[in-house]
Amino acid sequence: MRQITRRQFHHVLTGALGAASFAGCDGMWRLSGPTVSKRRLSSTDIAENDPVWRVLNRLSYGPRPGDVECVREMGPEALIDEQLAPQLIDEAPALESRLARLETLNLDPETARERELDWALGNPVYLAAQKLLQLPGSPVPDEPAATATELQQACLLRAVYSRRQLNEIMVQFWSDHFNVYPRKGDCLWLKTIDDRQLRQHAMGKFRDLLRASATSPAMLLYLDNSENVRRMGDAGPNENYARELLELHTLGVSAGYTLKDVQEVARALTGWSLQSATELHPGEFVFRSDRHDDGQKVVLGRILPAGQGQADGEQILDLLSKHPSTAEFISRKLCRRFVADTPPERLVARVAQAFRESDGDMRAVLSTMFHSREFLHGENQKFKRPLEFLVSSLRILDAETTGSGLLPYLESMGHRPFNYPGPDGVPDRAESWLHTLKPRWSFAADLLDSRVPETTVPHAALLDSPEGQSPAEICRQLSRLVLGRALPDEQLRTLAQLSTPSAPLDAAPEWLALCIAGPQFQWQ
Amino acid sequence: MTALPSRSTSLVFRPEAEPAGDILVVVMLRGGMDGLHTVPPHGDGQLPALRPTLSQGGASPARAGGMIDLDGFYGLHPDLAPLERLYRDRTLAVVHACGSPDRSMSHFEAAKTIERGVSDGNSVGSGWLSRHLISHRTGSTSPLRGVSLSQVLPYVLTGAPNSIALPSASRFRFEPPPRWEPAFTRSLQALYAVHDDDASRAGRASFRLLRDLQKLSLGGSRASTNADYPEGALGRNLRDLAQLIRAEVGLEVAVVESGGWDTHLAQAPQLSVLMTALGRSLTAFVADLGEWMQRVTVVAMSEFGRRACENSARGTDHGWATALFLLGGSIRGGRVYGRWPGLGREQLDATGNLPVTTDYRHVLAEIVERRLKNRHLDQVFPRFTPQFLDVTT
Repeated sequence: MRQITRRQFHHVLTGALGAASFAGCDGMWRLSGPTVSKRRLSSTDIAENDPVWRVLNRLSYGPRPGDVECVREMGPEALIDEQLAPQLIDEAPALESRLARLETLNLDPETARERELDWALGNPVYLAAQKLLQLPGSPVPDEPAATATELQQACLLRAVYSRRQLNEIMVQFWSDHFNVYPRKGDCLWLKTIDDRQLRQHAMGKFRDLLRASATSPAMLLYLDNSENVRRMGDAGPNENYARELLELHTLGVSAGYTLKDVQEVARALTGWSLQSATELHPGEFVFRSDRHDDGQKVVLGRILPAGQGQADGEQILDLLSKHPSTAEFISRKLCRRFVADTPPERLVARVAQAFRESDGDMRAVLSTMFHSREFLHGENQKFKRPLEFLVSSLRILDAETTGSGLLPYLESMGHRPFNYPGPDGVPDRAESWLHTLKPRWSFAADLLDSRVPETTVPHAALLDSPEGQSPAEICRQLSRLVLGRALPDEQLRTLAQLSTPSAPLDAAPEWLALCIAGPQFQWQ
Repeated sequence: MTALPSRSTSLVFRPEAEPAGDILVVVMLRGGMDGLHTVPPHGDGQLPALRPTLSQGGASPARAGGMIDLDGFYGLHPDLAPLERLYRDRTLAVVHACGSPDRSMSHFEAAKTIERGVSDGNSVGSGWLSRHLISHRTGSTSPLRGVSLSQVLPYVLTGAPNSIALPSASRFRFEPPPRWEPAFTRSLQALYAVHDDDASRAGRASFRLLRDLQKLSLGGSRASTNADYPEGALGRNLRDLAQLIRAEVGLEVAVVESGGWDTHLAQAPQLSVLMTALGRSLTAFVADLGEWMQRVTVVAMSEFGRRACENSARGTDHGWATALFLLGGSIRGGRVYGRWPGLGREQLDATGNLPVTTDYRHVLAEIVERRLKNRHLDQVFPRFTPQFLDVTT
């Protein structure tokens, strides 16, 4: 286990001292790679409702050292505009080199799909299903567990190191919204493909996202639409996807649709499936006209004439993405993610209006929300979910990680990425996560005690100029770095007692762990 | 009642005002458990026609397949065979065609309704177990009156006093580096003592819980009997729960989750895995608790059942009525309760669902009053007039 000695600590410290004078922020929020930031650290507290603190905590997975100063200089609104145009932001080379090491992440779709199907056919549950469904057989390889793990690692690495922070948060938002549970049995590989699709449209049009999800092989398997077939005798179409499409992906449960609507949507989507192992492009979306119910359907009062084939489904997606209930449902969910658990109704209404007027263009929708008074100046707090908690701690401590050692910690907090079984996605309200404090404390202690595998924190380099300062003063600086504002004097005095007069800096890891584990850092 | 093993610890909470009753364990079978598959009504001749592929291999007496006959009309799926002995011992009962008034066929709406114990899940915010703990004033100050073996408290325990979600009772420990201690934990506690935001309050509750669980020394001296729990979350959680029960921590109600019952596709193999785990876990739990079962009642229930006819993917879609399992020393077992509505076209509802003939609250209310000794049914199940089926002694 790696421990930093006091000597090493001072050595790094002196280096940081020299580097600290290279302050700089040239108008672009240049998110640094995993090396220690060379910017000046803030020497004044920042209020928790300061727009600078707000944008750094909500449009990113939390500030890195020096980011507060940088955004103070460029202005919070400029940061919003920068992050709304991710295509103009060069990605951090440090991230790209890390991602390049994840083999399954970069497989071409054909190979990935083949491996998925190979494995799926070897899965016990699937094997039994295969027997029942008379699916074609194939050799049985091992479970490609690395696929799931590498995608989870990639999610963490991007959250920690990407410069397109808002884009990453939106990818996660859609991944929760269109949740797929890859371990349902048969779509481990396909979630990686699904992720690429969501990634492509994360800041684009809602209609494109909806179609990407509706034709995603992972989703087709997860919610069973791959087996949604026109009525034959007593056996009717499979309603699973149709129901969640209305309830969770578009209209919301209280939009007033009926069971009949669900059944009609299911009929319209009969035949939306994926190719089997014996077909030309295994695992790719395919419309099977022989499985499609070609009769007339009536959905939400709209008549879909008989004989339209695949166009039935396309029209359903049009209808749903233009529906005012969808605009409101998605807008409310976005406001819950970025503003508050119970967002102001007037804000939701304005964002929904932007959704309708822009035809569901996420840039317009997000821009309306982020530039609003309620977002920038409201008193609203968001309780970090475990992923946000963990990543924000790594960012503010300038940690270096491969991501894999972090996954068990997220699991202990119930928030391992892409690991949520229900179609409703990971919850986004404080009440669902308040019970996860104990595992957060354990993580903070392990992180600062260098016990998290493949993850290191340059404790020492985080300080400005510790020489000759009192323990309370050093503790003040560290707490200001992590929390945006220093702990009150009384608490600083208590914490200062953790150190010994001869070696005040030895307690720095403990102080940092306490800041990360304490109540203030749990809020965004 | 049989003499119970008794043990005095600092965490035994003696009732003051009202007598404490049985311990109630609710197993939530999430996803919509198919009562027509688990407890097939083989005496109803319509089943094979409605389920041409699914009723093969177990669910139909004609095709044998090892289905266990219970009473000449209902059967037990062979994968639930471990439960047969409990049924013959009269420890296990089934209530069939049971369910809630919710007909949304949405998992989330139906779960809200059934866990909140009302006719419409959006009409109240608290769960029926919460209202039981609130209205049943036993004077207990145990922090573990209600426990859910899960990450998050389910709806059924929303707002419950002295209740917590405990993902793993035996692994809930906080162990910072020894050389930092005890100052580190003390400092952290001090940080959480200052403010009254949700995080600070939750932190203080976590510290209390750590302290309380430490006193129990779970997982150490109190090794389980040789009860044969199967692998998997359900068996593990029931094992943890049995430990909590035997440790006499003042537990009154517990919720255990079992997911995956949403079988739209290839139902037979999926249910086979789930039923095997359920049967073996419950049997192990009963064996583990031994004499304690005299004071424990288990209810295994689901948010809804499934469509009477199978779909084109050899699965079934969301339906309405289903079967509910009751288990315990005070259950009048060895019987299937409830009125069978029939599977004919005229008898199913307009959607083709098995209609509910027994509101689940009739069953739960009886248990709450007779086994949990709570006289305030009007508070536990508001605006509902229960009619007991006499499922308990």
